[in-house]
Amino acid sequence: MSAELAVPVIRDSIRGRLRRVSLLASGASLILACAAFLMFDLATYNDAMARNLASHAEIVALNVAPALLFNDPDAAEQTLAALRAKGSVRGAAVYDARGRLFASFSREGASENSLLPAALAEGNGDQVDWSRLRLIRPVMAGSERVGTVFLEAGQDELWQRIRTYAVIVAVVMTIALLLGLSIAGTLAERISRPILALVATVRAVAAEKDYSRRVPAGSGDEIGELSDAFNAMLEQIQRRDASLQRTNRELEDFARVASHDLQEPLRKIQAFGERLREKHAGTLDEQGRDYLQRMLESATRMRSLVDDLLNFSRAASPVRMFREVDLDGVLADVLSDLQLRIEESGARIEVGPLPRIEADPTQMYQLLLNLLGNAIKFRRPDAPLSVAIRAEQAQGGEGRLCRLIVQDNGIGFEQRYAERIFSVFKRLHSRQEFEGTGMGLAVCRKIVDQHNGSIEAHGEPGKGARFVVTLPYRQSLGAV
Amino acid sequence: MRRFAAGLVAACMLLPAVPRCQTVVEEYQLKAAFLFNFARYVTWPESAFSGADGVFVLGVLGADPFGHRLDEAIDGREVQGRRVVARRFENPADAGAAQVLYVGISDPIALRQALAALARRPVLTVSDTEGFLAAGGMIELRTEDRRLRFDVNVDVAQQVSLRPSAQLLKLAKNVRGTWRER
Repeated sequence: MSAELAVPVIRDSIRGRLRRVSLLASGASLILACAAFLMFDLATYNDAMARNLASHAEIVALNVAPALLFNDPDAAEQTLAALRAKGSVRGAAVYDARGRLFASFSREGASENSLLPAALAEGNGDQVDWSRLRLIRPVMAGSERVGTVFLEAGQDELWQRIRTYAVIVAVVMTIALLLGLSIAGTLAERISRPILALVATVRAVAAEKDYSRRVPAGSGDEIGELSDAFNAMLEQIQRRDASLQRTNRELEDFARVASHDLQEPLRKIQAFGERLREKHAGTLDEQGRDYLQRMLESATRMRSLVDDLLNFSRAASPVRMFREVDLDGVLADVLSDLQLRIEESGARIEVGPLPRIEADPTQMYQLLLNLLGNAIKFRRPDAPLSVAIRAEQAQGGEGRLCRLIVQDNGIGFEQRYAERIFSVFKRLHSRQEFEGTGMGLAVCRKIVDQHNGSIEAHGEPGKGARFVVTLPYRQSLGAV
Repeated sequence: MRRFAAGLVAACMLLPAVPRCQTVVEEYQLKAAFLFNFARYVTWPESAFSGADGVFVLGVLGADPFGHRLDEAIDGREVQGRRVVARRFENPADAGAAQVLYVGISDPIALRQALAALARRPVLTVSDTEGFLAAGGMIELRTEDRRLRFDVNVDVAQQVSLRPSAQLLKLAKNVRGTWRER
């Protein structure tokens, strides 16, 4: 279970995302507001500039009229020279009624300046763009047009204003963003705290299987609701887990006590049965001896049933301590204990090197004994038995796993029974065909479960069976 | 700056008839225009326009150097809200009907007599005769540096309630006397 709940790597935390969202929102609105304000102000400013320049042009037009009429370019140039005081004016010119240049003024150092004789024909018009302002005004004497004034001004002041604005906006943006950053941080913290608490609790519950933990009471929002729901769920799980554990414990206690207590009278039945057969067989007739024989056989079988039950309840009780186990050594013990049966069956056993793992040695012995015993038991009568045991490494959710594979060429089984064979007292064959209680694989599964591993079976009738046991090398995490 | 200058040069070359090259414009054509323009910048007392028709009379006394050019300069234009007409006068006594009068008399004695005859009339007297101001005239046209300029005698004008504007006086080469508010 715990293998699936590895700590996920969080690439994009809620807190960071919240902070980004609020910063983006405030930043975007700030930029928009600044841009709108800037555009409005610049447009207003440009307009004011144009009007200001226009009034200058009109004053010049008014003052330059007599000079035009009395053909006095010097006087006109004096009038134009007054424009020098107007810093943004780069150049100006006066044309007579026939469009000839009459007087002009141009500022030293002014660039990008040109006169537009063609535009003079239009007589009156403004050209305003980002680089310059150009104005053309008629010079009137009474109702008569006696000339034209042309005025060109640079937009340096506008750009100076834009630069100043840019600096102000940058400063305001920086301050606002810094302020926003701290506010967003606080806000994100407040929103994400209950979520993080929830996550921490979920993770702790998953890792430690401690269903008594609770998410701290949250706010009245959706996350609080989620926390409450999660707590309610945990409570249900805790209750069910407790009752399940109790039931399990009761069952196991019962099995252990029953099998243990059954041993004593059984041993007496066997002992006295044997004694009856040895000492008083002569006094019994043929039928009596047959009864006695059957009784003793049943007692033996019951004995093995009780033994297996005891094994099972032992396997079911939690492992008190894991320690480093050399599986090679365990296998050697098993093989030597099975020596007789191996020789009887003429089996050939291939043994690959097995690793050292953290486990309960007694249970490892039981596991290998049951698997090998099964392989020998369910051999084909027509072919010499061959069994292979090997180990390989596998990668699991929580690190390296060890995989033990026991493969035989026995009678096998149909794949659809692959799960059923691990149940208690489940047999695929009659007792007449193969002796046994039907407990062996159930014990194996119990042992593997106790070691946080898994076992699975693959079979094909007449071809053989393969059992794959997967166990962790280390029992550190999730050990009971 | 460079482009501005280039524009100026181009304008000069495209339009060779710049005012500085004055010989192109005929002298009396220009003088006729000046006569007309003086009318724009001088204020007459209302009594000056005695005629029932209330026209503005541009007159010539004595020799007429303008010929048709004066009529061309006027050409049905208006000044100070009045239609302008040109008239020639032989007798200085008649010339009082004009508002602007070109005095085409070069003889100093005849000139003085003519001006004396006009002394009480609100007539702006103009001439290109040398010593016109000294003789009691109001505006003397002169050519200086091949350009037409003028001098104004404010005192004489003021005696007959003629009021030359400041703009006109600013353009005048020399101004005799000062304008005083009465």
